[in-house]
Amino acid sequence: MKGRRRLLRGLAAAALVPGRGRAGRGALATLAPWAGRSAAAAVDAEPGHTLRSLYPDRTPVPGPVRLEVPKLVENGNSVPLTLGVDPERFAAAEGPVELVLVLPRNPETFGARFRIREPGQPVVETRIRLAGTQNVTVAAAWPDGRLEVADQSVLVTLGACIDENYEDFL
Amino acid sequence: MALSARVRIPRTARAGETVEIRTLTRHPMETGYRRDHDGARVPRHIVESLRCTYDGRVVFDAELRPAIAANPYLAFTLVADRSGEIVLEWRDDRGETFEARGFLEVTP
Repeated sequence: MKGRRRLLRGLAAAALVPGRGRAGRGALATLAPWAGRSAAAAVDAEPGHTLRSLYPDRTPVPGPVRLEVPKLVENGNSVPLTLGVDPERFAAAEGPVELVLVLPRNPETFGARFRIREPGQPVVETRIRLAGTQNVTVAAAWPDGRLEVADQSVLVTLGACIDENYEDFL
Repeated sequence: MALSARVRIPRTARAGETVEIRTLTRHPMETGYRRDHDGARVPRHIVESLRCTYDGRVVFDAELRPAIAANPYLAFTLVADRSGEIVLEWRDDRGETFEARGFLEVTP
C-alpha cells in the first residue's frame, strides 16, 4: 500500500512539473502555479502556505468559523458556500473582520477575501469552483490579531478548471 | 461582454433589522486555465472586487479570484441603522466597472 502511494506521488510530481514527461504538456501543465513542487507537497503545505502569505504576522489556529458547503458535489463549477463568524462576537470586536477562502487543491489556492465592517454583518454567501475533492478552508482574521481557521472536506465528482464542462455554466 | 449585475436591495427596514443584499453579476469569470477549440489558452478575465457602501460607509469589500464561479452570486447582510443610499461597485481586471444603487429607508 505504501509503495503504491509513493509511486502515485512520484507520478503526480513528475506530471506537475512543467516540461517533464508527456503529461506536463497537457491539461496538467495548466496547473502552473504548482510548478516546482510535487502535488502532495503543495496540498500538504496548505492552507498554511496561503494564509502565511496573506497574513505573515499571524499564526492560524483552529476556531469557530462558520462554513456551510455540501459534502458531495456532482460538478465543481458551481458550489454554493456560506462563510461567516458569530455576529455577537463581531459586534464586540470593534473593527473589521476578514473572511478568507482557501482551496488547497485548486490551481490557485487563494479563493476570495471579504472584509466586513459594521453595520455590515459577517456572513457571505457565494458560489465557488472546486477543481477536485479537497478540504475547503475558511479563515477569519479578527481585529485583535487572531486568525482562526475551519475546514470541511468536499467530495467533487467533476472538477472545475480541469474537466471540460465549464461551458454549461456560462 | 459588458460587466453588469442584478441586485436586490431592500427599500425599507426597521431600525436594528438585518437586511440582505443579493447580487448576481453577469461575468464569465474566465480562469485563464481553459483552452479553446484550437488549444489556445482563453485569457483570464475576472471580476476582481465588489464594494458596498451604506450611507457613505464601506460595509463590505470583496476581493475575488477565479475560484468564484461564473456569473458570481454574492449575498451579504447589514444591520439597518439609518436611512441612506446603498451603493454597490464592481471592478474587473480589465478596468471595467459597474455600479448599482438603492435607497434604504429606515423607520424607527
